[in-house]
Amino acid sequence: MTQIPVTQISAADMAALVDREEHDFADMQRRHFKARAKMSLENEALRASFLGASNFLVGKRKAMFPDDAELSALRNRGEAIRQHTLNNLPDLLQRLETNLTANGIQVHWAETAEEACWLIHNILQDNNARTVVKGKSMVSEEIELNHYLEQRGIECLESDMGEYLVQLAKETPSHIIMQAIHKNKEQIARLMHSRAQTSDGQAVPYSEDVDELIGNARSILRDKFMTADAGISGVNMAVANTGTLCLVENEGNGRMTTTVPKLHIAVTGIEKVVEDFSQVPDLLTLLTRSATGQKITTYFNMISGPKKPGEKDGPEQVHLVLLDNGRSRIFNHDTLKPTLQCIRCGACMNHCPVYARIGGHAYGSTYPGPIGQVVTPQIGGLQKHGDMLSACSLNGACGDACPVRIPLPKLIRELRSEAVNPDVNHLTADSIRQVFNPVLGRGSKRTLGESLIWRGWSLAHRQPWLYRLMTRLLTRGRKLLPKKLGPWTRSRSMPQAAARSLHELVRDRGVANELNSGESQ
Amino acid sequence: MSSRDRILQRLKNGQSASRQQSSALAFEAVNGSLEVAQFRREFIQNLSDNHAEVIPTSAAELATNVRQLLQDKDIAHCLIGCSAAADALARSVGGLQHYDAALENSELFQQIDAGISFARYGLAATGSLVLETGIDEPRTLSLVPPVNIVILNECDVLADFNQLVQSDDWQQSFSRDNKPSNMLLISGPSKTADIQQTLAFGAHGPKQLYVFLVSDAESAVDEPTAP
Repeated sequence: MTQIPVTQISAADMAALVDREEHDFADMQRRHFKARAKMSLENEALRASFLGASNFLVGKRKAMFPDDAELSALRNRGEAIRQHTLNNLPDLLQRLETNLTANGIQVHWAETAEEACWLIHNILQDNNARTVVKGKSMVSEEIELNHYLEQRGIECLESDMGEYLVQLAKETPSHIIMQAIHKNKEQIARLMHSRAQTSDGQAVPYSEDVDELIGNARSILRDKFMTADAGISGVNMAVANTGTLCLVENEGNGRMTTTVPKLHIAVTGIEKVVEDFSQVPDLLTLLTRSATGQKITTYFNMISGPKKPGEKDGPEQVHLVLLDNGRSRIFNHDTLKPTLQCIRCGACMNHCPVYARIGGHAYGSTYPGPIGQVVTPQIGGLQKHGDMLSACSLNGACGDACPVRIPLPKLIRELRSEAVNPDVNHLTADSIRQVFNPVLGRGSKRTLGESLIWRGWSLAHRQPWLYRLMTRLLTRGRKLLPKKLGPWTRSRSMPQAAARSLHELVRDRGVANELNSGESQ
Repeated sequence: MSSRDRILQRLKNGQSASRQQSSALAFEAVNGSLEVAQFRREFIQNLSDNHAEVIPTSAAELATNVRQLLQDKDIAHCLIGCSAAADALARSVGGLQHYDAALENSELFQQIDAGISFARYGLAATGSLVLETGIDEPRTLSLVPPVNIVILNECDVLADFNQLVQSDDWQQSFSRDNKPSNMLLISGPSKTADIQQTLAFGAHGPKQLYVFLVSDAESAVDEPTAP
């Protein structure tokens, strides 16, 4: 192995640096969206990490879809499969439950994050499980399961390499596929040396070599797999007709988590069901090619039951927790329903110019980027998460990249409108459905100033005399208009009103006002 | 009313919300473009691209080649399952340990150097090995030991995953009461790119994957009908 020169700083300095990063992260997460975005933009190392990773993943995906016609056919198929699921969701969930139960997998339903955590904790307690290894599961991040279990004295160790590093740093994932995308290898080298311990309690030797870093993490985590009481994983697809849980991964930690401990608990959102195995291959190929630009991942793990009599290994119990946490509310919204088509590939964030610059942590939520902007305010409410909706230039790249054709820009616009709409009591008849299903915190971003401006704007365009007055004031008083307009003019010049309005110029040219001159002409 | 009933009730209430016109596409797989003559080459190419080593062999020379590999790689403790094919191979190779009883995790994780698995099918388009684990083919055999050796008959290489799930064989295995509890697609050694997008092999599972592609063996399973 080649020795890589180490920038010699003392172990204490290194630990201080790692602590500093943890402190900075915690500090950032306490702030509002705008402050978080500003902090990210000012952090050059962070911006380099995100831009590098985004470009890398965009390039890999592009290479996987050389044929536009094939890509288009696959996306149509992916969209059709996911819409078929949503059209039949309650039936498919019941069929899934029946078939999982017949296969010996126990099914639980949770309406809220709290209930899911409580259910999982109960299962662990019933089995005296004190140590848990986790495969990558964004739903478990969504319900903040680690925190819940650790408060109750259960050790919860992330085993996906990215998630392991993020947990070691006491941070949260900044991407749903590449969780530690925000850290460069020097930071990771310092982190491993300062915080990771081998099973005999020694500090991990300092190295910036990726193979060595992974090798060190591998031996620490294999010791944990060997002894853990339970494994907790996510699910990529649940097949209703066969009662099968499918997991997609490269590292093998998902298989370890679901195979080695005596108890396996899977947790997933209610939208992840598909009807039949015949729909799985095309969704799988869309998922892996869109997410990491791979034809297929190393492992595709299809679990249809616990260890059977005579089998030498495998978990003795398998549980599935089906989580709602706002999803049935999304399901009831006419325009926002396609949110639930998502297969969590992360292509939208890789293609988002805003995500590539502010990074995942600025969003302050489990799901960042365009899909995060759509999911998070609907789950956590517009009041708390509505600000992130402004972090979008509506360039449409996310919608073009989405393998299941979720109209993300349209959904973001709809949520922006929900955020400033008057409260539910003022709804008009044509949006009657939404009376019962407004997005949580509807209207919470409405401000008096903004709504007055729009009301005035609307009035001026409906009253000809008011419109004439407005254009007259703007053209004649154009010298009096401000030269600067807040941050907008910091990098742009202020638009200038013309000396005369278009109406006046046209009239001078002798074009008659058709509205006033009647139909005889 | 339980959480289950409340969730289902809300979903039933919302089923009419922007219901999409059911598309026939949901039931129509996207057809791959591979010809039968290309299967072998594609399969080997894809697996090699994913850092697996494919070793073509005849049925008669399989045991010799396996023994040679174990010697070359200095593998002392090698596990194998208990199927008829596994028994036959173990007899010819010699020195293999049958995975015929549950192992202590400490032994499995720390003392075993390699595991030999048998794949039911290969998928050309992705270079995937289809493993059905069960009583004779434990789940950890292809997962925990640092080296994974997989035996596959060339006649069992199919075009892609779509062809597999449409085959009679697959549909029968998943319609019977005794479903395969853990079906797997394996397409290379375990890997990660979680540190600065740099690819590293041997993340949690096997660091190396060797595939013996047996050219003249009779199919161990019934021929699937083409879709």
